[in-house]
Amino acid sequence: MDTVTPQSEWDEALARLLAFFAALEFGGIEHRTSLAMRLLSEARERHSENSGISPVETAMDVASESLEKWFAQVLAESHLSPANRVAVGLFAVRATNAGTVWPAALLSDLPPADLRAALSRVSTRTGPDLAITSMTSRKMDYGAMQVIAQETWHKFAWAPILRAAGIWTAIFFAVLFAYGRLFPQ
Amino acid sequence: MTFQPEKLTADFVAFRRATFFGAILATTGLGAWLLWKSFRPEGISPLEWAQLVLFVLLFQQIATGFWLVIFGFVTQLVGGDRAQIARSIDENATLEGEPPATAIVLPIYNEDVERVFLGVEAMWRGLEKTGQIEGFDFFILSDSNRPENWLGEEMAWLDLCKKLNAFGRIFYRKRRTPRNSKSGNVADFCRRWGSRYRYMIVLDADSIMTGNLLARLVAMMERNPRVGLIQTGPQLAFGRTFFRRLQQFASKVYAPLFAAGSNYWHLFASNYWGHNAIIRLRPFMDYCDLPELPDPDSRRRHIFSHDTVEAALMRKAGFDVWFAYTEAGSYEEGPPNLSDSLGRDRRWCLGNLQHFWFLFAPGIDFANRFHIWMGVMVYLSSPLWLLFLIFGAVDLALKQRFSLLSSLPGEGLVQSGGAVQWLLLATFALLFVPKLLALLLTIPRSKPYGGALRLAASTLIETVIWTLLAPAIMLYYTQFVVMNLAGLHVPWNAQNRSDDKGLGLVESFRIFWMPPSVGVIATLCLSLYAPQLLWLLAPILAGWLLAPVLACLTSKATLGDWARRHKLFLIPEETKSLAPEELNFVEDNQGREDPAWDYPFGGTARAVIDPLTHAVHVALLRQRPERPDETENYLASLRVKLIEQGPSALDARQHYALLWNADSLRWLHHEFWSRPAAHLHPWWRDRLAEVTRRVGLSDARLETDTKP
Repeated sequence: MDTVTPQSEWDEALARLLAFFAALEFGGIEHRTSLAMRLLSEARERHSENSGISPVETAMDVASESLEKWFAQVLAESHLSPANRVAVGLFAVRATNAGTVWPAALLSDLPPADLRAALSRVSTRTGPDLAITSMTSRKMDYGAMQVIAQETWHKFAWAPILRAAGIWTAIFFAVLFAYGRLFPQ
Repeated sequence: MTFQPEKLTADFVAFRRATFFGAILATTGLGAWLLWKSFRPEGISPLEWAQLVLFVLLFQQIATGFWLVIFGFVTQLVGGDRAQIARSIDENATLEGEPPATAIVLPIYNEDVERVFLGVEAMWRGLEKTGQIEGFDFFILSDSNRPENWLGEEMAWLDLCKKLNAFGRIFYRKRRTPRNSKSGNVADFCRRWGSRYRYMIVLDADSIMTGNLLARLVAMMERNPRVGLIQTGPQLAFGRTFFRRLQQFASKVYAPLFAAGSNYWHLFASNYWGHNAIIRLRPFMDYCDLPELPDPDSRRRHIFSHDTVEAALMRKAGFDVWFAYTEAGSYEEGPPNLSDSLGRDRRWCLGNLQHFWFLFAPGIDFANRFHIWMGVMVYLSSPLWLLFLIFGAVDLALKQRFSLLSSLPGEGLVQSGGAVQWLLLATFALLFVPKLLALLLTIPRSKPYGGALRLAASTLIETVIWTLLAPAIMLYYTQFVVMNLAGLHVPWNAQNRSDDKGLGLVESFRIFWMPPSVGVIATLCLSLYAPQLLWLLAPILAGWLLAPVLACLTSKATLGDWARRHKLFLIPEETKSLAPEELNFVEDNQGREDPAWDYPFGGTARAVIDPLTHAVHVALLRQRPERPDETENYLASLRVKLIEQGPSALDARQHYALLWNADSLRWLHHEFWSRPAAHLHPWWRDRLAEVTRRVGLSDARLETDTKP
């Protein structure tokens, strides 16, 4: 029995487990609480062997490992890595409403066969089978505009054109002004 | 008897185009002659020549709008156009046998997640009612780069598939590299899955189409194998702000006449608006991939507005493009305020100006050239109008100044035998007769518009407000055109807003400072040099001076709600019994989104904290082969920084990079849940406190002073 670690740290570990399972939206409070208590007791045992790790971390490690093991047992797909198995499993839980349909099943030693079947049926594929087709643009002849752009300016850019337009507009108004002054009507 | 497009004769088409373009030509010629006549009898000065050239360009645009409405009005009067694609099938036509595979694609980019998925659900349910759901698959094609949007989309997709039992029928695709924006997104779909489908119905994120219309579009395509694309006429809906209500009212009352007039002349050579349209996939994939522009600047070679070009390419390939403008059941939403509307125009302006390259390209159908020309003129006309106004004002001021006899206000206007008065009258007629005709056509069925009186009042108010807004819009369009042509980035820092907020007056002045500044300068100049012109230009000056106030007022949902309560700007779709079920469904179910993650960095927090969202996101990430050590080290440094220093330590790109990396997310998820509260950064500690509170637990040790 660990006598050094303050009780407050174990309280925090329990609160964390409860929060985590509640966020998973799996089952009711009673099941989640009993689950948390069970995992906490496992965590205490592990902590007595290695007290260098905090109760919170130990408890959450136990919870993660339990989830990995449980989904390995529940999911049919064997090619999944342990790390990805939990993600795919929880995806399936969300997709099948398993948390509501089998509220006491999470981390149970004997998961119901229909739950296993339901979770295994779910696919994480977000698209149908690929049917790759080539789609490439055809060469476009832009005709006169392209010819004008290439032959007249070589490098077509709007900025010098606008500058030139600005200068010519200024000249136009200057001439107009001078005209009005020189030949008043 | 149904219409058979393949039996249209060349004479029939030629007659329609000759009458339509002949009318525009004659009207423009008449206007130009009146203006020429109004100039001094002793000859035309260089300034007047400049005005005349500008006038021809601008007047043809107004004349085109006018004749579109006139031809539309006439066809409506005679019971509708016989030559329209919707009449190629019976009113109650259904598909026989196995329905052809049709993909409904929604490219999305940081959109309102709840609204997007409600739209999909509404359309799915609509299709179920038609009994033809089996032929349709939905593809939500996401380019969203905001974490909160991306995460929300994944969860919404999963929940929707679960709700509708639509796994394997509603698909979600998130692109890692959003190359070539929307057109690239659709092309990516085509390359991956296009060959599995015969048709593709392209939607916008805010589009809704009724199940009945979706099925009818497929039936039209099946009936007409030569048709490559059918565009529907989307009606604006769900308007709450005053601005949106103005727009949706205008689109409901005026647009049908413009649409009917368009169909009158272009027939099988319609335009494509990029959404709410059905496309035959094989020719689309074979012929319509966008070419690069011959711009020497490689950043500007991509075509921003793909739709008009795609329609032109489809026509070039020999397929027809029709406009099913009389079909009800096609909807979209408009921008909530002037600021957002101009933000959208800024993008469209660049796209439309790029189309200029295609104007003289060989092989482009005449009708498509005209669509391109009209698209270019939507924006180019603004600087031309501004020039015309400046030239006109300077010219009149000079005439007044140099004329010894013209001391009376407006004297310059009457020295040409009344030609100017006729010209002004003609211009006003071209601008306002279309509205009057649309009003006349709507009055007999005005009850869902609030009755004849309110319909007329709405039209009048709408006209006044747009008349005042137009000068400010002209200035901004001019700015967009000039900057785009100069190859400069056009800044526009408006945010996409919900209907509820609107623009504050100070904010409105911050965004719309230019029109009042120009207005003050113009008013001062006119007062000093040409006071007699003040009355003539008063509507324009008032529009400039009042722009920030108008932008602020029209952005208000409260004003929109007030108008709705008083049955102003009502449209039939706002009456529950007249609206399609799909619209009612979306309206009734909006606003139920869980706001739990609605705070800065909420997307990243959700991916790290919420075990279900985290799991769904990681499960959907495609597993990548091993990355180089350099990349791994970089990602490792980012995730440590995120957990140790909080999310504000990373920029948006770094957040995004972590969200693409499953290993980093797993590590972050583990660290968040495993660290004692005392070892968490205060920001993460606050999130932990929130999660704990949300699930009915609370712990005083988790509370800190920091707020998200």
